[in-house]
Amino acid sequence: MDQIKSIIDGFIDFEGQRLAETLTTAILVLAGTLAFIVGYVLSDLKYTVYIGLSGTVIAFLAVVPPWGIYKRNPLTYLPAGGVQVQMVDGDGDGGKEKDEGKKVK
Amino acid sequence: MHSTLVRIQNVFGFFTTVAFFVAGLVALSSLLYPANVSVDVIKANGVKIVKGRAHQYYTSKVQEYAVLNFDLEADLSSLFNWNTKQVFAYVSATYPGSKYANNEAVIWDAILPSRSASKLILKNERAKYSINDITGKFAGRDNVTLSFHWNVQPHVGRLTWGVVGLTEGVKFPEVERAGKKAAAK
Repeated sequence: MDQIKSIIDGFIDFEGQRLAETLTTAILVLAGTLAFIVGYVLSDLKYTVYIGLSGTVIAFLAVVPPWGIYKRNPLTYLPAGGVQVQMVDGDGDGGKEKDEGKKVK
Repeated sequence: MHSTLVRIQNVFGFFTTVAFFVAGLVALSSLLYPANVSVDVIKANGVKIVKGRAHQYYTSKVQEYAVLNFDLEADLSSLFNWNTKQVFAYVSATYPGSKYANNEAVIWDAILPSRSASKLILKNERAKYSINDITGKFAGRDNVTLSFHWNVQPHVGRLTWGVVGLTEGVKFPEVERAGKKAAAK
């Protein structure tokens, strides 16, 4: 169940989001430009429509599914409980603090 | 762009933007093809006036109908470019009057769907539509002129109109068939 949910959610990491954004812009702008030029040169609006639509399909396929390439920089979260913050006091009583942290959680 | 749904929305949203701009460019590109319609011949060959009753429920009055024959040679191929869906071509007759000074009526039209249909050569073509005047009579009008109009319907962009060719005036003759008395009156 969790697996299905994660596929549908399709979360990706921050670098992946930047890449997805860039790809969307690049693919669609390229497809649009190519569509106009090919249609104009071949003098048929049909090519413009088809190239534009195929570019859009490619953009959807490339960007929408959470491909592995968008998950190469996963964020490593700190362990739960805020241990590090407590340690700054440096009184060497880490173990105890950690326990308190866990309780809070 | 963190989840599938947001990515779908973003890709589709940007697609509509790109589609809008491409369509705008296509519409603008029509300006690169100036219309250069040549009408070599446009001539009214003869006008026939017949008496008739309108096939319309609101009036049963007998009135005069003018049926024209005309020659037309026109080349509309310059109107066909990648953004042309079809061209509507029509011939209209213009004639003066005393009560109503300016009268214009379409007597023939055609839809030209492609470049291969863009050369019109009509010899003594009979008007598709007969004209009846608002007063019901054509007496005293002696200067019928024909003009050729075209209307480009593009795939994207605005409609454009143009008019070429005015023939020299032709006279409306007397009524040909039955009812000569009425016409003389």
